[in-house]
Amino acid sequence: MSEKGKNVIDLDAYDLKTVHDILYSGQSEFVNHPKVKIVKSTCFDKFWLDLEIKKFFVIAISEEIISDIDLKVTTKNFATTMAENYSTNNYIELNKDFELEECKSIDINQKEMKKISLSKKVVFFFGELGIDIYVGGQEFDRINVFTDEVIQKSYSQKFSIHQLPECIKQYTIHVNTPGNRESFFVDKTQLNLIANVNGRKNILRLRPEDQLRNNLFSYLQTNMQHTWWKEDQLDSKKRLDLRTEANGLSVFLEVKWIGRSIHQNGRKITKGYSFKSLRDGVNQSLNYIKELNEDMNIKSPINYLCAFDAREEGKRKAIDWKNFSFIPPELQHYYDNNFSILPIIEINHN
Amino acid sequence: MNKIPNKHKRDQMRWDILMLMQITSDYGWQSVKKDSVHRILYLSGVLFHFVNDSESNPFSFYNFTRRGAGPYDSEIDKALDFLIKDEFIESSDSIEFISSEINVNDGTDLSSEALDRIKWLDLIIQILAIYGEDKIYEFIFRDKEFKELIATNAEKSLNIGPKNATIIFLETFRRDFDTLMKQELSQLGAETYLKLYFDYIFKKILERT
Repeated sequence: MSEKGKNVIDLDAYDLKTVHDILYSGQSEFVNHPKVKIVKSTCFDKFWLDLEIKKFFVIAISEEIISDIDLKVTTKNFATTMAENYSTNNYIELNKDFELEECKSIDINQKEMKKISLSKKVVFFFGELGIDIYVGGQEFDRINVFTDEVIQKSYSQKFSIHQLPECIKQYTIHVNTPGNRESFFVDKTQLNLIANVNGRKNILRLRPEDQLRNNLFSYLQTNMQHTWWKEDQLDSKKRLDLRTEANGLSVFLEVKWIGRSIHQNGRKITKGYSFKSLRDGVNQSLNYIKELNEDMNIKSPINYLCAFDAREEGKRKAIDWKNFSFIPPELQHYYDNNFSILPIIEINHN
Repeated sequence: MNKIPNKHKRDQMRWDILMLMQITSDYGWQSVKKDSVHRILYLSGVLFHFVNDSESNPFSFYNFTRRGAGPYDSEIDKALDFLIKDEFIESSDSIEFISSEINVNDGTDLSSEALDRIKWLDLIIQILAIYGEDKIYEFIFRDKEFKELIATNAEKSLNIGPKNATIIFLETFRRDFDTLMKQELSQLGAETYLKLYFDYIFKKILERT
């Protein structure tokens, strides 16, 4: 048991025989060969994940050339070899540069896979659920202890950074479902105690900026491919609401809201925030981009303002951005090139 | 931190970077991002004592603090600037990539210390090459030593010594794995546990946990 009395690994989640075979069988030399693992992840897994229709096929590599595989050329050559041969053959044998060694059509079944692998070839069978490997007549439905293609497929279906606007649209649906939407707002019992409620329903709880940001953070963390973190500090000590790194590039979200919230005394409503808050958020974001680029030498090519609109349902007017004429000239370049406003997240009590 | 002369430290950093560039090139990387250089050298330091019995960590002269999304040593940036200026490596300002076309050496005239250093860097980069350069950030964010620094928001150096938080986690991981396998695989080497650890963290990356 670990220090806190809890195991690091979930001991019940793994098939011990599979783990044993991967690490301990006579074939583990090839199954665990670094070049096998690298080409499987950089070439084969990507190819399999990108296939819209999973056609059964086989890739074979002679055992004696595994150590000589030239990783400098494999990715590029594999794409060409597959483009030229995949549609007309279901058996493709590769040389050490991943050029075509041999291709043909074969009957694909387990017996045949084992037979080919017994002729000193490492066989990769691309099936519906992933890639199985045959070495020396033994089948491995996975070569990693903890990860497989099923987990990778699930991950690949999560939102990439390029799909962030679509992710925000899905989030808007998510936060407005019963059970979620109530968490942001003062409940009806408390509303009755507020003097100036005037029939309003969308009254946010105390410190809405923290609640909204944290809720969004959790959703992005679960539903995107990238890891986000909160309140990262710039050199100037200013804090970015949410930040991630995607494909090697820094990305941040500045989170704002408009609407009204309850006063800290719990008996009245604050004036809340209006369009000016959003316009200020634009300049605030642009200043952060300027600091990242000019003072911290961190390339941050695209960043976002993400706004929650908690105004009363049915009474919302279009947000007045004043044609963005409020942006000072020294920040205009960053507005034009490195900034975008995400779809507004409208939230309603019911 | 090892007390070694500044000049030696500078030369060693430059040599480490050139080795790193050559090894990544051998694993098929066309180029390496500057952030990745900091992160790979940090991982080489923080993981060193898990696999190597040596009492001293040859990467201990690096002084990593947290900057944005990862560990950072300003001396590495200076070393990169030197290598770019003297055209050992190339840099493109537009995308901040650097690439190396030089062949540092073929290993024939190197000391055993230098060969061990290359072997260790090679192992770290070999493991990272399975997951790709873009995933290094995700591994760093799940690195216990780095996570602890973020959690405390402290402005201090990352501990790459033998008792750092990452090593402590790895020891627990190894013990749990042995329990999982009912000690059958007790002959597995530390390198294998290190590879299993990365596979395990990769699962967490894919599952968004």
